[in-house]
Amino acid sequence: MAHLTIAASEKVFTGLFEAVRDNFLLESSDSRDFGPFTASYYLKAHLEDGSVDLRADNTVQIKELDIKWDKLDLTLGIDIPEICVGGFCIIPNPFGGCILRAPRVCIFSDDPDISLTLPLGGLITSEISVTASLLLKYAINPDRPPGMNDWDAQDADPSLANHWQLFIDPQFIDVDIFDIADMVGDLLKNAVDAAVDNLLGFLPGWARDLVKAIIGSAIDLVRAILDIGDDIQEWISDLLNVSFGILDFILQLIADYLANKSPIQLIEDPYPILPAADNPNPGAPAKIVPVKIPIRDLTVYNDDKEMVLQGNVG
Amino acid sequence: MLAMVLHQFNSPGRYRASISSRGKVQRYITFDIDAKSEVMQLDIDLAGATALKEKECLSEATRGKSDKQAGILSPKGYVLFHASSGSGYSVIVSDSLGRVIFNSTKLGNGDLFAVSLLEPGSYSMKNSIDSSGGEITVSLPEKMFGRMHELETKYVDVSEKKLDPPRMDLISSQGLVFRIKSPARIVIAKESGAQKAGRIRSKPMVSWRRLETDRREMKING
Repeated sequence: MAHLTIAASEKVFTGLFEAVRDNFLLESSDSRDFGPFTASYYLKAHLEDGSVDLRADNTVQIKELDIKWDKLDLTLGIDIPEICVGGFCIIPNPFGGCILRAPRVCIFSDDPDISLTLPLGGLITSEISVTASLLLKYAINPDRPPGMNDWDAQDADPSLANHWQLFIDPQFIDVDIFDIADMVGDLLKNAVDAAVDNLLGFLPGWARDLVKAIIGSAIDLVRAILDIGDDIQEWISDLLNVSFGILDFILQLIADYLANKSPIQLIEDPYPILPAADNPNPGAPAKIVPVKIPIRDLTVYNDDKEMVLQGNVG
Repeated sequence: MLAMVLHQFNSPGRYRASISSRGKVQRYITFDIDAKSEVMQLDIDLAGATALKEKECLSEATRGKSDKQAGILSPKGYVLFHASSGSGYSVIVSDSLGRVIFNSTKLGNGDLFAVSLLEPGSYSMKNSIDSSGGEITVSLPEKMFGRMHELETKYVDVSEKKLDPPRMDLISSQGLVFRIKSPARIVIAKESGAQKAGRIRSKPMVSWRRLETDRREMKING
């Protein structure tokens, strides 16, 4: 029989999880060249909500855990095919082709010609669920000098004590929802129109119409360049999740954060059961040291009602 | 608006082009006509030549002594004078003996004047030498969106007292070539916008001025 048994209810466990959840912050950026266009993103995200369920099979399930995108700016650099006026045949060759051509004047000669940023932060709804086991690790404080005893380690500021660490160790993390609001289509169209109008701003209206007549609808052209099919949400989702692998990256970070970086509970070892106190007996020493008990063989499990820690002293 | 003039120099030899902007000589360019050459087209950008001059800051003393060599052309080819930007350019070409062979303000038989009208609307075209004239309508139909490169060049034959055909329907950016067969001064003026009937520009967008004196000039107004 274990010397020590500590139990925590599901409500207490939920409180421990929420403290860890609220400290998760993510900031990332990346860029890629896809040939006809370039894309880059900058994101900041955190976690919110999530219902915790201790299950009878010794696992923990967290459902409806929201990834909140504080910022997700997707920037597209688009190379519009060069457009030229002139170049018409002045003297045709009666045997085919052209003997003499007019010079051409060209626009959209840069690469990229337009750059537009879609602020997607408020337009994405995403929920994940985590199925995890509880995991205990023993952590030796790396800053503790060799030979330092446990009492001096406790007294150090900051403390150099060793700890048992209790982690949530994800076995599965699933993305249950990743929805991009319909209005992203309007967002892209408006951004393209604004970018093209800005690019052609020096031209009178009829000349802008002429350019648009040559290239067709700007948004259709851009959609063709970007190879956007019928579903712009799906295209953006693929760009973010397949090409950039944002969700894979985030899930990996969350798994590492929960399993390795942020324990839900620290248990100092040896565990101080009585603090330092004045010596009630006459004579030296004036103070008596804290009473600490070493904890070994610490294990953790849970059922559907509570989490249980058990260990031995010695 | 794109506009250009073309002239064929039939006799081999070295030629010197004097490029002017609003009547003021800016730079000299030389080119050679060589019977051995198979080059059929030599483009000379009058605005580019002027820009070069501005960079080099040529003085009156050096002007003419540092002519830019534009190239070599077959006697069967054409020299195409155009302005990639701006307006008010003209050019006079002399042979090695200093005789004026071509003046862009005096188009004659065999010369070509080519334009590409971009702005939709109604235009008048007129040979002010003999008052013959016609109309040009430029449109921008939606069905042509994305197909502008398919447009075929149209031609107007300019003979004495006659522009043939007298009426021309163009799509915006479509090429229009005036084949000059008798002395001419072609003036193209915008009469109205496509959706702004009655709006008349006080200044012609393109004009050829064939004057009675030697002081003649081409004007391309944006």
